[in-house]
Amino acid sequence: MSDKKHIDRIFQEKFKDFDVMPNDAVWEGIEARLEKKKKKQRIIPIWWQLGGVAAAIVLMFTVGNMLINNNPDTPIIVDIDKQQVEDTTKNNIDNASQKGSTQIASEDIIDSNENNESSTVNEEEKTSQKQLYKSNNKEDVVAYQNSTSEKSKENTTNLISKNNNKNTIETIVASTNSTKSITTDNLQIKSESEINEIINSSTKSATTVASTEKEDGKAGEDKVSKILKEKETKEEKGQDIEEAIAEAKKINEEEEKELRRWSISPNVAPVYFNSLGQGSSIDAQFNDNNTSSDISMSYGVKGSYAVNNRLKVTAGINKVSFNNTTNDVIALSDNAFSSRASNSSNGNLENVKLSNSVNHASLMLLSRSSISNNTVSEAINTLQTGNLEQRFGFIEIPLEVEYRLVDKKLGVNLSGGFSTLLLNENEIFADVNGQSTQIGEANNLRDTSFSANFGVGVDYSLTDKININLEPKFKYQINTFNNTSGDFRPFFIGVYTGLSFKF
Amino acid sequence: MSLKELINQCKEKDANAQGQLYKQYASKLFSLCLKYSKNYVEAEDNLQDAFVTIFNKIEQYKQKGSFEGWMKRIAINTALQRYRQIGVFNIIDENAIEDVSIEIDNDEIDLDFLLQIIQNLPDRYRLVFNLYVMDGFSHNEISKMLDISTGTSKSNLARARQILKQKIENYKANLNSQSL
Repeated sequence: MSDKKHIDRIFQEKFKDFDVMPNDAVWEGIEARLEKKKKKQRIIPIWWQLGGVAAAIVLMFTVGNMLINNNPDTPIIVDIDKQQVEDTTKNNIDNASQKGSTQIASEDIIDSNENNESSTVNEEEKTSQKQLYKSNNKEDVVAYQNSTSEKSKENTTNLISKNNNKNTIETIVASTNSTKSITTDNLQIKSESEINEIINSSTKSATTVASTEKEDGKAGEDKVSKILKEKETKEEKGQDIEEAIAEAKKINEEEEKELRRWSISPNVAPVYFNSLGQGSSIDAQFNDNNTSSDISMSYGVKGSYAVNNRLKVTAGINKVSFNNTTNDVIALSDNAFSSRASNSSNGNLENVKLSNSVNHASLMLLSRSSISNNTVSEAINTLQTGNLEQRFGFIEIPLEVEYRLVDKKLGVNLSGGFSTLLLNENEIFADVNGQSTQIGEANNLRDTSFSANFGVGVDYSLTDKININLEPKFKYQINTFNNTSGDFRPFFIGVYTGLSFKF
Repeated sequence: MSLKELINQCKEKDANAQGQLYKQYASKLFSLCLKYSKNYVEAEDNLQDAFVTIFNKIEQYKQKGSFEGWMKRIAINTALQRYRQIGVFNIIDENAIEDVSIEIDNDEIDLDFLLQIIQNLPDRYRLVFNLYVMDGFSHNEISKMLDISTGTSKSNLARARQILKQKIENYKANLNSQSL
């Protein structure tokens, strides 16, 4: 039983399967030390992160303020008004010679079987429209109604005496099937005096608008200079922060050699557009109308750079389009009564520019509610109610900071920042009787606007290179419209989903 | 989860993955630490230091060679580091002792006893014995690791063997006298 063995062999054999589990306390100690180290590393990055967020907010605020206060569009608005006045003057003169030019807008709207009728209507109108007012191009409404009513009065067009130059009067185009007996002469008596009143009020309001805007401009300059000062001080602070950042970088560099810093993520999102307050981007008379929006899609791609394990800076590009439908809109063909009915804006749709196809139209859209308040013939109430649909789209360039709250396989992060929105789609449609007709575009949409963004995202790492993301985002639009009515504060919500590839 | 995935998650400082890796390898490394340390408490300290180093340096592991081997090297270095710091290796060379091959009976010698006598060896003897016998390093490698000459390494090993042999013989004698 006593094999002789080399002492080395004895130890080697005996310890071959030697396996002892240490106390749990050992692991707790390790955990505590790892945790401590993590916390130490995080101190400087937190300042850095807060600094980044603060910088983004300051930047947004500064840019937004400068744009709002230094509104470059202000003088243009005034110019447009003048131009309009001139145009209308011209138009009046033109009208004197071209009598019948206010015709039914784009005849394509009209069903072919109605063509005959409508042309006869035109002819009759011509005879009675010697003093017809032509609309400036601003607002247009296309609608045609099938009402077979015999109300000849509503069927007439506005007749206004020539000597009034400065009106901005909306005309109405409507192809009514109604029979033609147009007793225009009665309406014509809607005399000059009434029209003069309207004109005066409108010119007054124009000048007051101009003057208040001037004041705003001055106040704006002061603000801007203040903001610039603030910026300078911030920049000084920024240097301190930068130093801290540089230090933090050095410290972290060793540890983070392997961190995948860059990632690219294509994404797609259903987006929903709405306004925080009651109001209309089209015209004040629609302020109280119900609006609705369809859910549309946004597509894009974003790239991100991980500053550290927690903080990412992202930028990207997205295409996004919206629609916003104003309900309870009726179409009229009678200018005479519309000048009374739409007390808010002289009957014009403030923010719509007619498209060429309906250039010669004399169309009008009114909010049903605004009409019911007026002493108008009951006949109005039988008119068809339709919708006014505004479609607009942007190229969105988001710039955001993303902070990772939970850094595991299933991660949670917060993001905030802003987007630059470049207008690339702008149309207005009238939907009456289930038929949708493009009538023009909004003239109050800015080519460049901004949005403040906030989102909470969840991601799941499929592999160490690929993540799948889901991120609901709220984007509050800033400066998108330069002239809205009521309390119109647009925003949109999107649920951004996509894959992100790290490298 | 494969070891590779586990390592990658540890590289991202994932706490769960770190816990799992620890569970998987704690006993192996702890037994190693026990051999290189002079007692249980010191072994625990070494294990803790070793794992903290492993988690902090895991990004340097490039998937070349065995991961277990890599971790063992860290654990061994951690143990050696302790004695380097206190300067035990600055002792002058002893006279080289002839390397004698020792033969002893091999029967039910208690593992705990063997561990105990290893731990009770003087620090230098213990380290050299472990490195050479248990973990297969050459005298050349050991001389570099401990910053001593190969002659010192050899003589330390010979001394360690003699001490261990002596203790085992005493132990056996004890057993025999008890059984009688």
